[in-house]
Amino acid sequence: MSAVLVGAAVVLLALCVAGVLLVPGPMNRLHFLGPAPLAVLLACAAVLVDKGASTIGIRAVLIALFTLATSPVLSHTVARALHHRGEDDA
Amino acid sequence: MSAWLAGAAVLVALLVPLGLAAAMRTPGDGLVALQLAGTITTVAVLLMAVGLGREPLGDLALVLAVSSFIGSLAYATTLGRAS
Repeated sequence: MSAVLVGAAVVLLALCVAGVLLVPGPMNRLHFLGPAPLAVLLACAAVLVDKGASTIGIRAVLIALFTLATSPVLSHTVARALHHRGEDDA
Repeated sequence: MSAWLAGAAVLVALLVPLGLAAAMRTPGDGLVALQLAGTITTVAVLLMAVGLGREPLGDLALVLAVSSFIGSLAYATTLGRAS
């Protein structure tokens, strides 16, 4: 089960990378960062399934919570910076 | 090689094209690549911690998640003000 979750997380992140590399325009590329926190969630779920509520499991939960909370903030800040730089027209 | 280490190896390999994109494209594109690279690195270190059986690496992943967020935030703010 944990191997499936790890594989799903890696595939999702690979798709994010493909989107960032292939889609034209930084603002369009920014949209492909949206699924990245979901991949972090999948990886942390894999750790929890395999290790349970151990030290590394608690670290995984903290990483997932932090990423889920901060990723939208960071995306908004990056989008605003791109807008100020005039790179949001592609 | 376990699924953990195989996943971590794939994620580390994914950092190479992102680094190239950050180096060769515009600063805005580099900022987007930096944000994704921070997330990928955090997951890769977490997978390495489990795969290698070294739990202190989990602390490193947590610190990396926080420092990556702060660094990207500072870079984005600076880039927005510099324009």
